[in-house]
Amino acid sequence: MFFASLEFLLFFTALFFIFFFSPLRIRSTVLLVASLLFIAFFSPAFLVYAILFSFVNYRVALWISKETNLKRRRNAFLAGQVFNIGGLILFKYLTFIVENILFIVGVETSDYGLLGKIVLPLGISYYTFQGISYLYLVYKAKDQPERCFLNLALYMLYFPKIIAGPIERHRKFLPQINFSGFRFDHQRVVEGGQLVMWGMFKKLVVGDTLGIVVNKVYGDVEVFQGIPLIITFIIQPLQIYFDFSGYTDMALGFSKIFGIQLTDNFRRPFFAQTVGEFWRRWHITLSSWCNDFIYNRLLIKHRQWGKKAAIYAVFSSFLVIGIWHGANWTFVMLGVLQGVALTYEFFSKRRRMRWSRTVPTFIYKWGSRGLVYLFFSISLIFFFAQNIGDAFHFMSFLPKIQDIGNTHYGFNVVRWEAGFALLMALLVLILEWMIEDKGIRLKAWFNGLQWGYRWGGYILWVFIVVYFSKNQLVFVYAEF
Amino acid sequence: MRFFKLGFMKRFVKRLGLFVFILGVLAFLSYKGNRILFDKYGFQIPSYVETLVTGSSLAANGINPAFIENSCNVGLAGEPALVSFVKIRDLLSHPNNVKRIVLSFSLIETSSYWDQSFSEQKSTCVEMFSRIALLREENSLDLFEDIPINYFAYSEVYLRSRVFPVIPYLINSFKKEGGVYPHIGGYNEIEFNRRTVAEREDNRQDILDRMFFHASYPENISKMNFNYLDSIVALTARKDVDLILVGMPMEKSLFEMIPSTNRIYYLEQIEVRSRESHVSFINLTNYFDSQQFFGDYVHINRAGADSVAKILQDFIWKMQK
Repeated sequence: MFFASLEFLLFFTALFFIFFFSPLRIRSTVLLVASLLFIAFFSPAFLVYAILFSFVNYRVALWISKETNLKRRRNAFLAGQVFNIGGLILFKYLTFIVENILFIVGVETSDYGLLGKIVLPLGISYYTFQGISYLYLVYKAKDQPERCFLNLALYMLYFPKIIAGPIERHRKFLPQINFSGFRFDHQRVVEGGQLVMWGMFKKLVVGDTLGIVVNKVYGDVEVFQGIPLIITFIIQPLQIYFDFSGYTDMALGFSKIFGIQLTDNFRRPFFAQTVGEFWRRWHITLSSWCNDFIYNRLLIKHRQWGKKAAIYAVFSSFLVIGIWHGANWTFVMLGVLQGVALTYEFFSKRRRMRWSRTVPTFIYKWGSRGLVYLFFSISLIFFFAQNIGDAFHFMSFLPKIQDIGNTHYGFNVVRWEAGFALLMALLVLILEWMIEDKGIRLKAWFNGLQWGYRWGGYILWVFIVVYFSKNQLVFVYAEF
Repeated sequence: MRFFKLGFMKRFVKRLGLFVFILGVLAFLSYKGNRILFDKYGFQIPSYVETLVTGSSLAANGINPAFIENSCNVGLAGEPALVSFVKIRDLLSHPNNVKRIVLSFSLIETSSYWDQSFSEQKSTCVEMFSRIALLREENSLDLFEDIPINYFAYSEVYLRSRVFPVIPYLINSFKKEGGVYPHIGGYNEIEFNRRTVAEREDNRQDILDRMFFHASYPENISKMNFNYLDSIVALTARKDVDLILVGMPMEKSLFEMIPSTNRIYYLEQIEVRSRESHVSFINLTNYFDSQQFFGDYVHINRAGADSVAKILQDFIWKMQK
């Protein structure tokens, strides 16, 4: 049940009315029940693990806070983290680890028995990271643990963020579970709805339409070379951005309707001038999580190493970001590439400052943005490729241009739709830049229009989105 | 009774209701407009066509219409008999000169996998419903009386293809590109995935597991495909069109791995139907000994498609004599 589906529309409509017609004090419970149903819709087995996960974290946090003996307190913390990380390894990485061990010892098999039957529970990567940081802050920063299990379960399993995040911090989320925030607010509901519409447009019209091309090429990369690969190389950052940020906007919008503000994951990443800045604008909740709980911790722990500590911390953080995406060597490469780029930026800062003074600001700024975009697209080859071999095939056949006259690239996409999607991508990027950088109050302008114009806009949106929903793909980040 | 009083949300609910009403009116007008478009621009069999070829990818990739006089191949990958029936019914209900229909109905069609194709995975269901949604005739839920279906998928496709404005979709769908009509099908000069052909990946066990040994299909025989085969037999009889059923070639080793119950049932059932005066059956299941005619374990390649078409042409000539 993904957001852009009929079943979700029915689910959400029912929830909307049940929520706002329920007494204030049980509204958080209504949201929790809805979240559990949402997970159960995918698989009841996922629900069992999700509840167990929430309960263990709830109990361990209480145990940590109550325990006065330092050693036992530490043991409680470690037990909780072993459970959290162990669960993630079991469901996500064990098959990969076993495969590689067998490969090293020279055993060839495709039959992994029970291992092969393991299914990745919905949202495990997202709520496991929430669990790790929750226990860490209760243990290290002595945060007060949540006393109500229902609230903690809602924090872990809240349905708008279960599929694809954002990875929320309990310090921001839990205080929002209060009665007054759940009151019906017409303005807030409308704004939430508009955010959902904006996100759905981004995902269905741009992300999914361009996704047809990307999926087709990476589904069988060996049959492509030259121009089709170049086209894919150029559009893949846009595809993943519109897919992911579209879904995030929808999650934020749905949540806003109920009065819970989630954290945005994107801040115009394609305007970043360095890879470091890019990661402060891209998948913000994951990169900031790694920054707080891996990078900073390692940097402090090994501060006596000097610059080496920074490099070590950068590589460790990005290795985690890489393999967070999945159990595959391609994701390890994705992380390593980011580590290399950040290390380069770390050591070349002064030189780059000198260069920036020798060229006009405009050229330096847009040149840097272009380079970051190119670097990100190179990284995405490892993100989308099914294996390292496919990634290297993509790169080696990218420049081999043949038969320029042949414009039939075998993408299986309707051309005008792809053209429209690209045009919309450009328009949305400009609009987001105007709204966030130039402070143009587009939303206020739209909401100030006469109702006829606004409703006309909504109806046009319905028609366009329904039309493009035929291109709908499974949300890329839902697989993590 | 707080629950039944709109109170604090009165303004919101009123506006929402009005918006839904306006949207409904516009959708109704759009639905009516779509009907006119479908009737006017829907796919029509070209007047020269006397032999219409259809079926799943076995037909779409495996029967080259260039070797059959006045023929047109409208086979579509993953087309169960239900879709073939609806398509044939739609195409024959408009002016045409079709004298015979060649329908690929092979051993693989006995698999009960097909019976789940309208209910199991939503993306597959959407794909299946989309194939019939763009035909001129409106296909109601009656078609699926005995078949489990995913109602959400059906509703989504119906809304998208028949209710909301579909002009750009129609322009694309009713336009022939490279010999293939997107929603009707057409002959594919096969370009197999290099991984399955060049490296000849052994996917026989996967095919068997998916089609014949799936835990949720205990009976292993497709009721839907045989029921709709009967519907096609009856329809062609009514329309006075000859029906030629073709058991398309299958790679020998895969054939031997298929459960004997399916093999026996297939022959028995097809023979029962071929006793009808206007139904012929050409069994080519084991026709090719050599692997050179196969693209993978289920589909024949271009050379195979040419050979099968020539056999069919000979058969048609004999019928005519």
